[in-house]
Amino acid sequence: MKSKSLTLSAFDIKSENKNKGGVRVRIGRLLVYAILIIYSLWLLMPFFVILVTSFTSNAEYAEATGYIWWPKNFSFEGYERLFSDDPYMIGGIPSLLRGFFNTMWITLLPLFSSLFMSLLVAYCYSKYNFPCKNLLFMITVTLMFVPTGAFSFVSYMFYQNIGWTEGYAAWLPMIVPGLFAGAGTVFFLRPYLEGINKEIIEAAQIDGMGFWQIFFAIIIPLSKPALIAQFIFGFVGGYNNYSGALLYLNDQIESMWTLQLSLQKLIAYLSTSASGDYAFRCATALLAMLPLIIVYLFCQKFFIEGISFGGGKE
Amino acid sequence: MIKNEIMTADGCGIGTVSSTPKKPLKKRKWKSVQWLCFGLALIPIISFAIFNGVPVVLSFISMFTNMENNDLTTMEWNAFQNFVEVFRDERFWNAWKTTFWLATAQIVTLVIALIISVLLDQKVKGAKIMQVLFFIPYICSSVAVAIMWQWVFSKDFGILNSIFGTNIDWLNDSQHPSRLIWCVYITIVWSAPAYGIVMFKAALKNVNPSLYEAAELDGANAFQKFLHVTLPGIKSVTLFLLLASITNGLAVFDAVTVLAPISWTGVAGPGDAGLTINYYIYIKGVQQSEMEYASVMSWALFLVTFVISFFVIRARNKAAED
Repeated sequence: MKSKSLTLSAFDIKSENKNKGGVRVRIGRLLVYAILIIYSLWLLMPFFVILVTSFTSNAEYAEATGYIWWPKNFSFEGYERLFSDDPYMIGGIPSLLRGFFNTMWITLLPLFSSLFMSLLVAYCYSKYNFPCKNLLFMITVTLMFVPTGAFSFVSYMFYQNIGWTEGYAAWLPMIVPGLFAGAGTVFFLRPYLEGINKEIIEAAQIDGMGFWQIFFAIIIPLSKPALIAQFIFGFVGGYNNYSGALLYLNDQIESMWTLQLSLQKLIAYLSTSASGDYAFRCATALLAMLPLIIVYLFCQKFFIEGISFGGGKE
Repeated sequence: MIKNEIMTADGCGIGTVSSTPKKPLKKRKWKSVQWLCFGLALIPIISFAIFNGVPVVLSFISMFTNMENNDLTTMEWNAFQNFVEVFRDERFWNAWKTTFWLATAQIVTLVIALIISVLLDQKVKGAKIMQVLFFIPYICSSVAVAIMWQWVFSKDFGILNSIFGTNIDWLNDSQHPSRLIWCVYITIVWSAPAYGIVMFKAALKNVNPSLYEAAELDGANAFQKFLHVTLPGIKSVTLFLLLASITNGLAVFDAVTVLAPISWTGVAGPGDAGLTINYYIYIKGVQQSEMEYASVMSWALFLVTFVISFFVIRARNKAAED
C-alpha cells in the first residue's frame, strides 16, 4: 500500500528521460487518452441507444426510416405501458417488479445462509483442531476445483426425478443447494480468519466465552470485509442468474418467475407484436438493469475491491 | 508426507495410533466442541455430494441407457447407442464449431482487458471514473445486454444500419446465418472484459516498482519493460483469467438464447446458427426430455474443458521451469 505513490508503470512519463524527446511522450500520452475515451464511448453506446429509444414514442417510429437519434417529443409511453400493457401482469403488479422481488428472496436467503455456514466452517478450520481435519480440508479443496458447470443442465434430471420441477417445488432447486456452506467460500475465508490474532480468541476463552459466543462476538465482526466481498460476488450472480431460472421456472406460472426470466419472456412476447413497441422493450431492459447499477454506483468501492479480492489471492 | 500428517495430527488413521502405543499424546480424547467442528466441516462435503455428486453420477449412468421422459425407473441398457447417435449427429459437430468460434471471443476479451488495464495504470486523469464505468458490463445481466445489442443490430431501425445506411438483417437472415454469430461475438466482447480489467488492475498494483527502476537502469524501453517486468508480474492472474475464460467460453449459453431463440421445431436461430453445445444440451435434455443424449454431450463438454485447461496449466508449468 505504501508503494502506491512510488508505483512506476510501463509507459510512465516520469520514467522517460526528458531529453529523449518530449514529443514522442506527448503523442504516447495522447494515444493512451484516445484509446481510453474510445473504449468509454464504446461501452456507453448501447446504453445511450436504448435510453433514447425508451423515450421515443411508437408514433414517431411509425414514420421513421431509421434509428431516431433524438426524439422530437420525449414520451414516457414505454415506461407507462410497463404498468398497463404487461401481458404477464397479475393483480396490477408488473411481471418485472414481481420478478424483482422473487429474485431478491431467491438470492438473499441462500446467500445469507451459505455465508453464515461457510464462515462457521472456516472458523472451525482456522481456530480448532478436530478429527480428520486435514483429510476433510483436502477433500473440500478438491471439490472446489471440480468444474461442475458442464453438468448444470443435466442436474435437471435429478430434480425432475425427486419431484422438484413441478409447481412451487420448482423453486427448490434454485434455493436448497445454495443454502449450505460452499467449498470455495470456505477455502477463501479460512486464510482470512487465520489472520485474526490468536490472542484475542485466547483472551475470550479465558473470559469464559464458548464456541458460539466467540463466533458471534468476535469472528463475525472481524470478518466483515471478506464477507462483504463474498456477498457482492454472490448477489451479482444471483441477480443476473438466467439459465437457472430458465431451467426450472420456464414452464411454471408467472408468479414464480425471477427478474431475468420475466425480462426475457416480456421481450420475447414483444418481439412477436407487429407494432414494434421499441420504447416499451428498451424501457424494460433498462429498468431491469437499473437497480443493480444504482447500488453499484453508490458502493462501487466495495464492488471493485470485492471482486478483485477473491481473485487476487490466486 | 501429507498422509503422515493426517495420521498423527488428526488421529484419523486409527490403525497408526494403536500401532504406536508408546506415544500417549496421540491417544487424546476429542472434546465435544471438536466433534461439533468435525460435523460442521462435513457440511460442504455432504451438500456437494448430494447436489453435485448425485446428479453427475446419474448423468454418467444415463449415458448408457434409454429412458422415457427422463424417468430413472425406466432405464434400460442400450449398448452405447447414445454415443453412436451423438457422434453421428451433424448438429452436435456444428454446435462445437459455433462454441469454439465463440470461445475465441474470450481470448479477444483478455487482450482487451490487459490493454485497457495497463493504459488505466498510466496515471491518467479520470482513471477512477473510467474504472467505475469499465466495470458496469459485469453487473449487467447477459439477457439485458443481449437485448440492448439486439436493438443496436435491429434491421429496420437499428443504429448500426442507420449509421451505414444499410438494411441488413443481422439477426434473422437464413441466407447469411453467420451474421448472427458475429452479433453474439460482439455482445460477448462488449461485456466480458469488465472482470478482466478489475483483476488485471489489482495485479498491476502489486508488481514490485523497484523492478521497473532496475529495468530502466538497464536501458529498457517502455515495451521491453512491459514484456519483462509487467507480464511476468501478472502471470498468475493471467493464468487464472485464462482458465476462467476457457470454462465460461465453452459454456456460452445466455446470449445465444436471447439472440437466437428456439423455433417451435427446436432450431436455434436462422439455419441453427446460434446452436452452441450448452444450448443443444438444454434443447435436448430439458425441452425434448432426452437426458441420456444430453448427458453424453455434457460429458463431452466436461472432457474438452478439462483437457484444454490441463494443457494450459502444463504449458504454464513448463514455462515456469525454463
